[in-house]
Amino acid sequence: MNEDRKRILDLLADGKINADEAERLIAALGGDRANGAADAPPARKPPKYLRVVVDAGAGYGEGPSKVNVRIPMQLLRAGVRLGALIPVQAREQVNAALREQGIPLDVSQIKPDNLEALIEQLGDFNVDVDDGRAKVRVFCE
Amino acid sequence: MIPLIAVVHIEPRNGRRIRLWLPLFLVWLLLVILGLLLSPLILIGCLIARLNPFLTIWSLVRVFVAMAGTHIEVQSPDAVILVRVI
Repeated sequence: MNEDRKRILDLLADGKINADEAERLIAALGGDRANGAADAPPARKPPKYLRVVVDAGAGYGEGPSKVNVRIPMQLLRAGVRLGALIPVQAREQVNAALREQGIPLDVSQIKPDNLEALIEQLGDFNVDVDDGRAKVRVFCE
Repeated sequence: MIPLIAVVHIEPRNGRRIRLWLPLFLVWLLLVILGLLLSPLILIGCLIARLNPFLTIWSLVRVFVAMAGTHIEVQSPDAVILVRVI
């Protein structure tokens, strides 16, 4: 038993932390991985493409329309890296314009590392809108 | 992988169909030559904008490279447009 795990168990024994907190701390130390590697689900592959599918019926515009867009995630990554080159003054202007539109987003906080974490979670991302006349689906694959 | 071909289909309901297979590798060659010729101007532009010219060019190259696999298809009552980057 290593020193960190022993300390966590001591804290649990002293009643300073509860069992759930102790479990989380041990898991954070990597103990969970070592003990339960066989039970752990296989690592999910990060999504490769962002898909946008729109199927508008005859109720919209002059007739039925369909849109099918597939964007590689690699392009998003490259775009973020390119965005990192935007001069600070321009970023402030972009932030101000976004705030005006009611989007309190700081583009300087969009960094490649943050994007990786976001892309990993996008595997479960699925937006499905159906108002009877049109269907919109946004998902990753 | 560097995108090598772009496929562009434009099919108007009442008109002539356009089907283009664009050899992007030729475009890349032209861009390299153009980039070399315009490098002094690019350098000056980057200095004015306070950008690292090498990082800027590398980031642009990455965007072009990442375009492989892009697929855009729009069908409307007037036309069908398809753009694919392979």
